[in-house]
Order: sequence, then C-alpha cells, then structure tokens
Amino acid sequence: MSSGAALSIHGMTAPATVQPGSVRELGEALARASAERLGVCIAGGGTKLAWGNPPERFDLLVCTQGLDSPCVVDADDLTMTVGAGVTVAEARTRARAEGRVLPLDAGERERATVGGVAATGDQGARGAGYGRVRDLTLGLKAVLADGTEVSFGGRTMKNVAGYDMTKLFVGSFGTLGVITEITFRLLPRADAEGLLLVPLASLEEGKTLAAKILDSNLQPLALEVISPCSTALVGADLPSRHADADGGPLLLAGFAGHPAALDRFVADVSRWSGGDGAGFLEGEDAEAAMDALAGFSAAAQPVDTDEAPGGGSSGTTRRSEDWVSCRGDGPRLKARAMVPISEVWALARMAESLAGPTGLPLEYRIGAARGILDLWVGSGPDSEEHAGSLTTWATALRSAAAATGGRLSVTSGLELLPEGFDAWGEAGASSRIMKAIKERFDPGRTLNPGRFVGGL
Amino acid sequence: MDDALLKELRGIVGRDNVLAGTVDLQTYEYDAWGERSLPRAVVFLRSTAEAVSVVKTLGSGGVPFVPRGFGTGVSGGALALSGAVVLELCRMNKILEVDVPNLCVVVQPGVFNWDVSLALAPYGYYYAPDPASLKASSIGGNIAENAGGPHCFKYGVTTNHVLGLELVLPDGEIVWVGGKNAECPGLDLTGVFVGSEGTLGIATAAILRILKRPETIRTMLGVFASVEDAGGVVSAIVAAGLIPATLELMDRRTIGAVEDALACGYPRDAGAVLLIEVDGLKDGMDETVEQIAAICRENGALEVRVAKDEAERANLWRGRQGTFPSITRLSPNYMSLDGTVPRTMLPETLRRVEAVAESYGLPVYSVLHAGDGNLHPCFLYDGTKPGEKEKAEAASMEVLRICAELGGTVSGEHGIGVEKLEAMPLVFSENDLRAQRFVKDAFDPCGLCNPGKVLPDGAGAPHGAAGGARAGARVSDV
Repeated sequence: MSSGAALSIHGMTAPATVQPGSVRELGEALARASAERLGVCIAGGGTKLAWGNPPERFDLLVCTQGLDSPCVVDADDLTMTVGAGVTVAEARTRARAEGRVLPLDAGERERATVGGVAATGDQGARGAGYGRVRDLTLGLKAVLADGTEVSFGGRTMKNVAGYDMTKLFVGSFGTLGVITEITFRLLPRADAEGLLLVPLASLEEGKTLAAKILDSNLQPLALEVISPCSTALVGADLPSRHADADGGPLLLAGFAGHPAALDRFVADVSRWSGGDGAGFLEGEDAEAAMDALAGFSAAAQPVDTDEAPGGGSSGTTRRSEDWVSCRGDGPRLKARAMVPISEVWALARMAESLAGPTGLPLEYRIGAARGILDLWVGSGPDSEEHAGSLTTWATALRSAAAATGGRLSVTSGLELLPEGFDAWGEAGASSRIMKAIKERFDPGRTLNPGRFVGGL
Repeated sequence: MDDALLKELRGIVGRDNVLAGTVDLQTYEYDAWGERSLPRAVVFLRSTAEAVSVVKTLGSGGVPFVPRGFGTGVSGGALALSGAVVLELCRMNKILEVDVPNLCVVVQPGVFNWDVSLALAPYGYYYAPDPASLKASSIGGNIAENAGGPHCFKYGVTTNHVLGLELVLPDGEIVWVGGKNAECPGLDLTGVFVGSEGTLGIATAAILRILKRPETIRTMLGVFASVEDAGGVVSAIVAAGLIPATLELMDRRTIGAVEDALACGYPRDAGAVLLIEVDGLKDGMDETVEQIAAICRENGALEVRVAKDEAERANLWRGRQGTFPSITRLSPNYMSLDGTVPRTMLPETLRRVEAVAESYGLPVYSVLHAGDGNLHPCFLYDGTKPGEKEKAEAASMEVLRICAELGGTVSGEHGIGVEKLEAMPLVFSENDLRAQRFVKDAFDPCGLCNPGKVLPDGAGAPHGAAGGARAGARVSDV
C-alpha cells in the first residue's frame, strides 16, 4: 500500500489502509470490516474526497487503484469494460487508440479513476452532448458490504432484465458497495470538432444566446459560460475584446460531427452572437480547451506550480491552480448547483451579487445545457472574517436553488462552514426509500457511513 | 370481492370507477402477452390523491394491486396475480405542462406515447422513445417497461428520457424523485424505478426530456443476399463513425410475410433488408447518405433504395411497422422473443436461432433492432394443438440461453414480467437476485405492489407474496 496512505477526508485519516489487488481480496477485506463493524471509506484517485459529509466512523480506507484489470475495448460494439481502479486518462487513451471516444469528461483525469467517476456520477461540460454518466454505463460489477460479489447490466445498449441496478449504483457514492468493474458505452470519433469562444457583455446576453442555441437543431457537444478570470483555464488565445481582466464572461460552444455541420454550427452561433470578437478553436485545440474546462470541477487539492497562467500544456490540475492563483490563495469553498436549465442564470447572478458586497472572490462555470452551476468562492487570507459571509452566501443560494426544484451541494471546503452544515442539503421525502435501500445493502453501516445524502 | 372493501373503493373514486362484475373483469384479465388471470376488481384512478387513498385502503386490507396502462405489454407485467386489484391509470391522461425553456414536458401516466409528440409538434419538439406500440401504449407503461423502439440506437431508451417522477409508493406516500434537472444528489431512484414493471409503486406524473425535431431525416433500404451481409454492414457503418437513428433488420421469411400482408415493395428474393435512417442537420447529410449507401454496396448490397420524399419514406417504414401484424396472420399463435446480444454477435445468434427452430420444427421469423443488438425472433405455433406451446416455450428458452451465452441478455425492451421469470438465472447469480430483492423490499416491504413479477421465487421473497403468484398465472391459463 502506497499512495493512499496520506489521503484524508475532512481532516480525518483512517488508522488503516488497504489496497486490494483483486476482487476476491476486496471481498475479504469488506467482509472482515463488516464483521468488525468498522467504518470504511473508499478512494480511487482521491480527487473527490472533499465531497460529502465527514464519515461517522473512519476505521479503514479502501483504495481501489489495485482493481486495474486492463481495458477491454470492443471497437465494433462500441463498448469498453475496465477495472474500477484504472484512471480516466488511461481509459480514454485506450479508447482513442481504437478510434473511439470514452465519453467521460471528469476533472483531474490523470488521477481520477473510472470507478470514482461511476460512484459519483461526475460529468463535465461535454455531458451536454455525451449524456450523463448513468446513461453511458451499460453494466458494472461491485462487492457489497458483506463481501458478496454482484454483477448488473452487461455489454448491450438495451437491457431490461431485472431492476436497473446499474443506475442505482452509479452516483451512489460508495454507500451500497464498492464498484470493481464497469462497462461504458463508447462513441465513434467525430470527423470534425470545434469550439467557439464568445465574449459576453453580461450573463443576460449569455442566457439569450444559450437559449437560442438550445432551441435550435444545433445540438452542441458543450455549452458553458465561465466567469472572466477563469478564462485562463481554457489556455487559448482569447479574443481581443476579452484580453483585459475586466472582460465579461465567456461562452464556450463546442460541436462534434460532420465538417459541414460544424461549419453550420459556427456560422449560426456567430451570427446570433453578433459576429465580431468570437474566437474559434478546431480539432485537437478544441479538444484540449474542452479538456481544460474540466479543471473547474477538480477538487481543491492544491498542487504547487511556478508556471504562469495559461502556460504549459500539461495537466488540468495545474491550469486550475493557475486560475485560482489569480484570485488569491486563501481557502476555497466549492459548490455545485443543479437546477432546471433556464434557472442557472438567475442563480449565477445571485451568487455574484451575494458575494460582491462581502468581498468574497467568486468564479463560476455555468453548464447552460446541463443546468449545472459550479461555483468557487475564495475566503481571502483572513478567513475568520469571511466565515460568516460564506455561510450566508451558501445558505441563500441553496434556498434559491431549492425554490426552483433544484439542489446545491458543497463539493469542497465544508470545513469553512459551521459544523453540521450538510454538504448535500435537505434530502427530501425520497430519502426514506434511500435509507431503506441502504439498510438492506449495508445493515451495519460499514460503507461511507454518514457521508451521503440524508446521512446515508 | 369483499363488499366492505368494494364500498370503500367506490367511496373514494365513485361508483362508476370501480368494476367488480366477472364480465367486466375479464376485459382486464390479460395483457398483450396473452395469459390470463382474473383481477379482484378494477379501479380507475383520476388523480394522485385518489391513487393515495386507494393504495392506502388496499394496504390496510393487505390486498395486492397492479398498476396498469393500456395493457400492451408483452411479458405479462400487467397481469393481476394473487387476486390483485387492477389500478387503471388510463384516465390520468393529461399533459400537465410543456416547458420548452427547460426542455421538458410534464405528463400524467395515462397519456399515449404518441400524444406527447403530437402536443409538442407545435413547438418543434418531440419525445424520442418510440416503441412499436406508441399509438396504443401509455407513458406510464413505457416507464414501467423501460420501453425501447427503432430509434434507440441514437437516442437511447425510455430511461434516458425520464427526468423525474411523482410516485405513489406501495404504502400510499407521495414522493418526487429526480426533477426538471434529473441531476440530483442521492441514489438514482428515478433510474431504478424506470423498468421496474410496476413492482415498486405507481408513477402518477412524469417529467420527460424533449428533443427538437430533426431538421432532416433520410431513410433508405439496403437489400442483401443474407443476414450475415446485412449484419456486416451494420458493423461497417458503426466502424465508419456513423450513428444512424435507426438500423432495423428483417430476414427473408419476414420480408415475405410483410409483402404478403402489405405489399410495400420489399424484394421477396432478398435474404435480408436493412432499414436505415439518419437524422440531424441538413448540412453534410447528402454526403452521409452517400457514404452509407457506399458502405452497403461495398459490403455486398444487392440494391440500395433511398427514399426521395415523405411518401417513399412512409412506405419503407410501413413494412417495418407492420411486421408483427403481418406475422400474426400466419399462424394462430406466435411467441416473440426479445434477447439482446453485443451487436457483432447478431449473425452468429441468428444462425443459432435458425438451428433451434429447425430442431423443434417451428417456423421462425426474425426482425431485429440491429444497431442495438436486440433481436425479435418469432416462433409460430398453434396453441390448440397439444404440446405445441410447450415446444415454443422450450425453443424460446434455448434462444435466451444462447443470447446469455454470447454475452447478451434475456430482454432488451419487453421486460421480464411473468413470461421470462425462469430466464432470470441465465443472467443473474443468486447474489445478483438477492440485491435486486433488497430494492423491491425497500420500496414494497409488504409485497403488495404487482406481486409475482420480475424476480423469480426464492431469493428471499418478502412475505411469500411472490410465491403463489406464478401458480395463479398457470391455473388461470387453462
């Protein structure tokens, strides 16, 4: 056992760590942990350990990186079966080598594992075109808390045999079992790919343009708006209007498909956006920029870097840190709101107007086609002073999201908020069923106890 | 039925909305699978509030119930076993809200699938899942069965289009799962409810994703000497990086049956036809169509017909849409299977299906959603002749075993219901079934909601509810 040893969850570390090298070893470890009534947390690459509430008990950390059965790519059937411990970057490379696309758009791909992505359902900007992780997962294998092995779904696009347990496990945050192997749907590589960068005068302008695109036949691969300072993330030559730091937000509209369809996409979106000032990236440049966008969802695991913003071509981690450094380096709170798509704009404006007067530095990424708003708030060097404002900010936004039928989760920096502030918010009436499911799968509350929605 | 209970039910929904006479009940004793089991009563629900009251009333008497739409399911999912009361949802048939800015529509469960798209047409949108029964089946039923259809290859099945649900749980409590943004932290209860065949509760409202109508749709028919050739083309199209909306394959016998019934101009001497549809932006579409036609020709197509106008397109589809009615004419009964295999295994699967048919002496007609690897071989038989039905059942089981063996599954879109309970162990271990039972038990600890479906006996059946169910089906079958 090596890399997992230092992993902590909300400042807590486990007295013991295990990295099973096989599904059988994992089963034995979980069976023993259940028998001894231990609290077990699970980590893949450890990129999303800041999600969720602190565990009720944390006696053992299970690292899944040893569950690295090689990727089996079936290029003709458009499927990939891969061990949960394999990184997203590795799995993507393997699909690419066969001329296919693994449609997972997770942040920190070099560390994040496919198992972690499946367990959290974390999807990035290209989810607009690719779909959600649950829609891309055809089947999976898992080990339950008592050590028994289960297998659901399969390698086919259609499957209605029995309950859709694959959906139940995707996004279940390790509370029902440890995912050991996953079969994903692959996509063919598109003939052409492009990304339009449209500088916006205001969020209102973004809302109008996004609505126009979404009400058209264009079907964007990605449709995001990022706050002015976070444009460093994209690492591209930005349009001149946008060069100064006081520029407005930036809309990114990605497309993949037939070259003639891409031309049409570019022409239509440019026309609707008033034409001038838009930047355009094509092919691998477009892909790289969309990859960089995923840096926004990277967890706050600071990595030191001396490189200048936008410089270097390496990892998204570095880029995201570059970006953060432009807004001071105090502790950061990260939140993700999920609301009906037309509501993201009002929520983003509210996040801004609430942060402004209290001096909280704020950056955002709006998933205009996904109804997802990612927010980063810096607390400044004097975090004591800002703690109260942060709490007010998060509470008000959470109520606003709830008023639209949506939710707001804190995905990092929970410790900046008062003790007991729930990372997920109100669980709602359906929480009763979730608890009933949890009781049956994991009666001893062995797996990730207390970390998920409703204290699951 | 117990008079007091009947009175109570009538008190909730009104006298006219409860059926209890034998003749009335016989209308509801079967679905499109064909086996029979007389329900204890039929209650027509008109609102979520009525659903709550009725479910609570039945629960307090320990009476099982079955939610039902229009009974078009083909695996017996709507059959009332164990003396269940049928809760008929066809009168909850309103489209509650069309929300274009949020790309969704909110509907009641009794709305016809087709009517959702009709209501969306003025806005330029539609609802993508299109089971063959779309004009006769309800959204509630589509959700229960996770219905598919010929356009799934590109657009996915029902579960990919359900964003949220209002559920009346088996104890009568109302909960919402998902929402206008399906992304919602917590266990994906929407995901597990869709396809649960009415065994976890009643969906009384659904939020569905809507899609813009494609700008262009192009339809073509590839004619091949053999199923192998057609199957090869399916793989070649995918290998070329194309995702057509539709890839439907029909074998020689099915072509003959369709021509006899509908005369839509499919070549009778062909070994297989492949119906291909592409949709999307008009830009580049001509090239894409030409590319697909070229792939067909390079892979042995005898002929490629591209529909020039809407009339020609409708004609090409007419044959596919009329497949099952055409087969129905040929024999008193047929058994339609729904196995699914990885796409590349289709030619081998079909070869083995032919061998099974031959060994049992049963004619087989095959139509396939080739893009999805979902095949529907139909075994013809005469149920009035002793032993024929058993023969068809045995042949069917063998085919499902073949699908499982080749890395596929026993049902792609029709559901397990009662029909395929025995096939479940082909694809699930005891542990897998036990985990599914956990879900059933969590939603429905008393086992009152559509007993006897999806999960085979054993595997820790709650309160033995599922135990008597199977027998019920068989007895009423006589």
